[in-house]
Amino acid sequence: MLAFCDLTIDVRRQGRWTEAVSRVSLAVPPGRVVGLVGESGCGKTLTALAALRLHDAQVRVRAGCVRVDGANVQEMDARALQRLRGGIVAMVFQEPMTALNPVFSVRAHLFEVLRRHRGLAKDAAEEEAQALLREVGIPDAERVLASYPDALSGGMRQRVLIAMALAGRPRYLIADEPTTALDVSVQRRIVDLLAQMQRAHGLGMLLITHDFGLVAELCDEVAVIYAGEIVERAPVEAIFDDPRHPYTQALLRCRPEASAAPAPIPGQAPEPGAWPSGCRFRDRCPYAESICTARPPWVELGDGRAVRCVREQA
Amino acid sequence: MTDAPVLRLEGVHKRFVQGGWWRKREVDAVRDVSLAVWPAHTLALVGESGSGKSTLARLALRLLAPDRGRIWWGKHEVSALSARALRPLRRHVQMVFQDPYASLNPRMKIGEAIAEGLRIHEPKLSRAERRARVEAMLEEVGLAPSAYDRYPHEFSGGQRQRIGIARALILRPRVLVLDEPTSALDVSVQAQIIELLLRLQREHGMGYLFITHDLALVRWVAARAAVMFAGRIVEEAPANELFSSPRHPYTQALLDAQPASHPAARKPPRARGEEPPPASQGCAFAPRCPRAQADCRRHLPPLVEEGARRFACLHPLP
Repeated sequence: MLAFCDLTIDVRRQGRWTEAVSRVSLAVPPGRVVGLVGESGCGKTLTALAALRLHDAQVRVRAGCVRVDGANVQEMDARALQRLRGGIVAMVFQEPMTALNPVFSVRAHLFEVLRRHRGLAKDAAEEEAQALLREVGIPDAERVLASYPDALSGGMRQRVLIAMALAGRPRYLIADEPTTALDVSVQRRIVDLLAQMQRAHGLGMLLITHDFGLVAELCDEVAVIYAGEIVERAPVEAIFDDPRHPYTQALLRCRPEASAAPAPIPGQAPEPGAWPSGCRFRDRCPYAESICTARPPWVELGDGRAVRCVREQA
Repeated sequence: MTDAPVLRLEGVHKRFVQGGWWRKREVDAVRDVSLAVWPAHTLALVGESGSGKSTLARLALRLLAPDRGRIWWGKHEVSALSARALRPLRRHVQMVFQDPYASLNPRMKIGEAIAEGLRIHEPKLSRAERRARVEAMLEEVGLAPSAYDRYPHEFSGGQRQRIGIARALILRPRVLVLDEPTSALDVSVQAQIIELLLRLQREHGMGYLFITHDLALVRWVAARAAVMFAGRIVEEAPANELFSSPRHPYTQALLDAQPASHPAARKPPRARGEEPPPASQGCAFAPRCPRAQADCRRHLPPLVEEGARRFACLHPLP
């Protein structure tokens, strides 16, 4: 299990530590796909980076922890961390170009992972690298292995990145907006590929996205995050059929659908440090009342559903 | 609908030469494209990266000159006008970019950036008049007039896009070319910006050429849509017809690629590699087309009209 337990993260802004993620709890079991859905600045990427302790000096985990199959990531030494990153939990990023080094060939990228996590060298690595590329839908593996990232299309880069993620035989995959930079038809193919890889390898997958289309395609469960806080958690069908938190409802109504014109959410999401007291969505919520100035309770509704809203309190 | 289009392209062609003396390659980015944008109407232009839609936008704005074909802004033909002759006409055709931040000078106050066009096109305005016009524009796009004295970095993505829109609208253009104006924004902000654009169109009657790769957006913003592939328009139709009964297999492929709107509508993943590149002979889409036959690889399908729609396919969908 990849588990986030009451994770609280601060970021340093102009020398001051500001809370950016508040007590996020989330569990990704092996073989399941969990979506973490939210808009930019809500803390979803910070949360993901914490799973691999990839954040920089401007970010700190102030409370809570991330556990990977029971082991606390915050307490890992350098060796354990190295094994964790790519060997147990792998990541696929939004912009494949920035995740690939332009001066190294695709072969060099894959060999690095294969050497580090699988101890493979030369011939064995070559064979495995070709097999990996074929697995991610690149038939002319030999040509692509010799290519440099900037010679590849966006879709190809993302495939290479997925191959690199699989190369360390991880148990968990974190995909951060894996398709947003791609064309629609390429997106479709990458979504299909992620679904196939996740199933074939029984990966636990944390999908970070703002796109409910992607959620509908890939997720088993969903957590919706707003202003650093999880506001709703539910099985995927329930999120679409019966969203409970006003933010989830509003976010779903922003999507253009054939049936109805979208309705924007008034205002904008507050940044860390500017969160309202109590319910952080109350400034934009059509149902807000005076009671919402107090911190809303986390209400468990059964069947894997929970909502942070006073309206759900019995 | 008023009598004449505010923007019209006829048989427009643009070829680029890529690479240096060593490996020269000619690329026809836009091939024989004709389209019209009418006042108070939106024509959506859909295509993937490399389809030529951004080149087409630059041609429509006459930031590029066409190699062949003609371009009109209202009644003015601008295909071959010099930069100097274009200048007084430019106010009629303005552009909204995907990333407004990239098009704003970080050291220039927002108000001054918006006023730039006024300084060029209405030089007789006094400072105070100019400021009043900009402040009114800021309010119109949902920003406080006090934004005038602030700098680009002080604004969020959605606010910057409002600034980009204010900048495009300050000269009261008749046509707005919008290049993926919301694709860099969050969903909730995207909906705000689209609503703003639709309201401004209702109030001022501008024609929009709305470039996007997001089909879900097309349905919402546009009455008509043109689908571009490998530099050509392969299908154009009223948006609802395009979605309900596409004739070109590429349009169908785009629709099939849309993500499900509900987990129950999930399609099983198919094992597929990358798309083959467009063909250089015959129908460019043939290598990807499930309906392609031998003649598709030999003959370029002509763009045929059928009622209110056009499509270029030898074996169209029924």
